[in-house]
Amino acid sequence: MSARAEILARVRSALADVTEVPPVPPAPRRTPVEDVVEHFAERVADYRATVVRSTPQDLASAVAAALPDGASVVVPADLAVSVPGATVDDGTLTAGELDRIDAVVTLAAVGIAETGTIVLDHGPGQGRRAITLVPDTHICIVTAEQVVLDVPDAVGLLGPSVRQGRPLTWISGPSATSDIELSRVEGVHGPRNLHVIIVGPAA
Amino acid sequence: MNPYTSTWSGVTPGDGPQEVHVVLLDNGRTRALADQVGRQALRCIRCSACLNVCPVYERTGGHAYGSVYPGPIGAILNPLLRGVGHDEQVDSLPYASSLCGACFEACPVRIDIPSVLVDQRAKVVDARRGHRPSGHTAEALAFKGAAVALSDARKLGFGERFTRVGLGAARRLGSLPGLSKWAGARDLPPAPPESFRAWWSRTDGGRSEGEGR
Repeated sequence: MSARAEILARVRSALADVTEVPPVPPAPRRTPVEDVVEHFAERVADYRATVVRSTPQDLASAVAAALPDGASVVVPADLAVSVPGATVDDGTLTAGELDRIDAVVTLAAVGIAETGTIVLDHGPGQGRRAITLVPDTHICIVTAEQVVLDVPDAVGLLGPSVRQGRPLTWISGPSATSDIELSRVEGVHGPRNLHVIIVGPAA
Repeated sequence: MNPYTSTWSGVTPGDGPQEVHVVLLDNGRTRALADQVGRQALRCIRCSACLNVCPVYERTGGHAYGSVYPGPIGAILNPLLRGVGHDEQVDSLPYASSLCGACFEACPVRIDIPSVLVDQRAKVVDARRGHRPSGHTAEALAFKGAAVALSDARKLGFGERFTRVGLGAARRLGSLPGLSKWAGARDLPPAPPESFRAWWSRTDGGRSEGEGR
């Protein structure tokens, strides 16, 4: 018997007397806001991230403006935005090599307005996990259509990605933790600088 | 939301570890899950609200529980996870409570800790029935005596004749060195002038109460 079958059998026999399964209550819904994208921009900025708006035409220059002067950059091989001088990830860069690269530019899968969260499902234009976690600056491009109001909406959209076995990275502001003695340490789990470009029709 | 949260569903080709092993650790959870009264303890979110309000925890501190789960939740979770009847310390935990209920009031997920404590006490008694002398021997003996006296009306009536003598003896016992500290803070009730049975037969069930005594 596999460990999985064994432990599930133990759970089933422990619950043998439970016949009625209480219904799962629906996820609480937040009251809609007037401008979801604006709400998203405010909440992301609350996390000490830089947020700018751009039209599709001006995207390349918005990316260039976001990059620190003379910064080395890595991009996923299938990124549709042109980033002059960027290293294109071929999957062989090690963590040590990525650590010497200043910034990464990627797309995203979903933006969540209520929590100011960006979710990567590491699909097209988002690269593998290591390139989004090791460089110290992440320039993340989110389109206005990708922004949803709340977490349950995002979970609904991400279902197919999870079923395909894709990993997810949920980013809520630059990486920081106060786990140890309540002192704030930045950059433990990911980049210390988060720069979000929201692409949509001119506001 | 916390800044970085990663989820993964196994191995992703070309991204991250190419071999993933998952260790499923039961650690007594299915034992606790099988307990109809106690399974609610698995709802615990480890917030520690019950510890902060517990008068017992306030005085004993965390190490007294002999586990990573101290306080009221530890007093039910440890016997549920490890089972009773094997370990003196685990078996003592359900008794480390005055059943004041402060933990139940503080619990954000409504775990009825006092009810589970009482249920676990019953399980400890059942596990130790008939063998394993323990710290509760004197208590068990007293209850055995009570069961003999209370199960038969004639035995109870006979025993009641010794109420005054018994209480007097108990008062003198209270001054013994080992008991004086405990007994010194407690008063024994005065013996009533007559028992209910004696009153009933003397007054014909209250019908001739007027006669006085």
